[in-house]
Amino acid sequence: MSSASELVEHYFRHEYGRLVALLASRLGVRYLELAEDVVQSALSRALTAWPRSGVPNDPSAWLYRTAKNLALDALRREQLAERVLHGQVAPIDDSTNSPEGVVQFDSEIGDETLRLLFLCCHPAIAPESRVALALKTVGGFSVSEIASGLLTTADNVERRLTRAKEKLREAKAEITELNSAEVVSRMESVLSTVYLIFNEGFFASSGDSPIRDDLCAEAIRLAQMIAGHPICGCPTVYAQVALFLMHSARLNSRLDASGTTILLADQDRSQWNWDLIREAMSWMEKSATGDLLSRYHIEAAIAWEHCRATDFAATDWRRIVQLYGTLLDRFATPMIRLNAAIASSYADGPEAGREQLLAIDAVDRKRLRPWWDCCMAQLHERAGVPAAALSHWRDALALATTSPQRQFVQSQIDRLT
Amino acid sequence: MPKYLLIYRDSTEPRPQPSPEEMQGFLSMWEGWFQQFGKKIVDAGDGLLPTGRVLQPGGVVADGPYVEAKEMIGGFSVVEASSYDEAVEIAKQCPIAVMGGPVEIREFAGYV
Repeated sequence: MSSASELVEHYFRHEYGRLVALLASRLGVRYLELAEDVVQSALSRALTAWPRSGVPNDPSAWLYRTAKNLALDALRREQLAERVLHGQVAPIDDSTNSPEGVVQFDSEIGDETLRLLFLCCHPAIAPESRVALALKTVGGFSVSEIASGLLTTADNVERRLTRAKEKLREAKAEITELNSAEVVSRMESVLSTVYLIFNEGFFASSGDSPIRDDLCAEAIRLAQMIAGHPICGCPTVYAQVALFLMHSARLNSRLDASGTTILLADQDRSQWNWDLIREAMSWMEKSATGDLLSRYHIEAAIAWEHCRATDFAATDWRRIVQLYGTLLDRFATPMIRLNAAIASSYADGPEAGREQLLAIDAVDRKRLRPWWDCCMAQLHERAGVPAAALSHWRDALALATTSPQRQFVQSQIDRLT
Repeated sequence: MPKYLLIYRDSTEPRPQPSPEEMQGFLSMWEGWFQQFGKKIVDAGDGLLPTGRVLQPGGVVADGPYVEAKEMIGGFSVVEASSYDEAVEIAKQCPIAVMGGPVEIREFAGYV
């Protein structure tokens, strides 16, 4: 017996995902919801039992047994209902009741979680729903936590989850052994889901910040889990881990004490976490094999250029522009075009950057707001046209959606007026 | 020393389930409470399932607990205290109260 304080941080959250994964793969994906319910109930029982009788020596096995028995009870009730409704008996899969199930538990579990993640990235599910489903079932986040992490409403998250589960049922998806063929076909979707989770946590710096940090931590945990898996580990995911760690190393210096955004140029570089950057470097070295150059490789290389510059002025903008060029050839997303334009403005002057910003069409500009307006404002200011800058800052203020954004833009307007 | 029954009441209104993260927080809170009051807590008690039976006059058995009630008893503990004041102080620190839930405190009659 031990004490609750000895449980590792996020133990319940991570255990939730592991147990849902294990039960859903044993019972079948049509019972995904039942798996979630019984795991929630098992945690709730632990909440009453453990403070009174002590945390069991193997808390994971305790939770698994409890959840499994609850699931079997529910299935027996369902079978009874079936029998009453249709006058027939559906066979119950009682194989989960064998004692071996518990014994194998530890060796099996790491894989189960990844299998569930692969299920959440099933091609039938819309990409934004994959994120919600992965956070709920694999990550053990509640609907309201997901809503505040993704800056949306709980109703919206519920809808995405319902739709995702419907799609899984329609597609008759099952959790299967991870084999090379499946890993290859779904890896891209899995990695972009993990990437979206990280970006949600990293870029929209508003809402409940502990949750946003947790999203970044969850993305890193999943990426490292994939990277460490004998079949899934590949240079692309190593590069993704490197990218996440390099961004994380700079997390703390992005906001000042009042929660206002600090620009890269003004960040205190001594606050960057060099342990993380060194760890990122070793992943980067590992990723430098094979002949596939993924977006994560290029983005990690750009992040490294920022990390290695001793101060803002020492940044090798020429090299960064080159890397953005390579990235744009493959993935010309609006956000990458915006970042590439800024890099050009430092390499070749504000006018070069402004031209690239103006080349972004109206639809994409709208998706980039208020960032597009902020960048235009800065370029005008650096070109010595403060009046034009001010007008763009005012547009940005009207479009700002989060309070760090508003505080930042307001401070720029105050400075110029 | 007088004993007091702490009765934890749950709302029967549907509300969002706590997240696993929050539950782990409650776990530490409970453990902290048991440690803080040690021997004062003579019976840590238990939770009660949301199902029940109500035996009505005339031997009629209905499914319970009282379905029309706005609250139902979700769990209990027994504490020892020199007075109601002290019992209330102990109850105030328990996770149910800290989380804003109602706790009913009743002194044992001591007939036995």
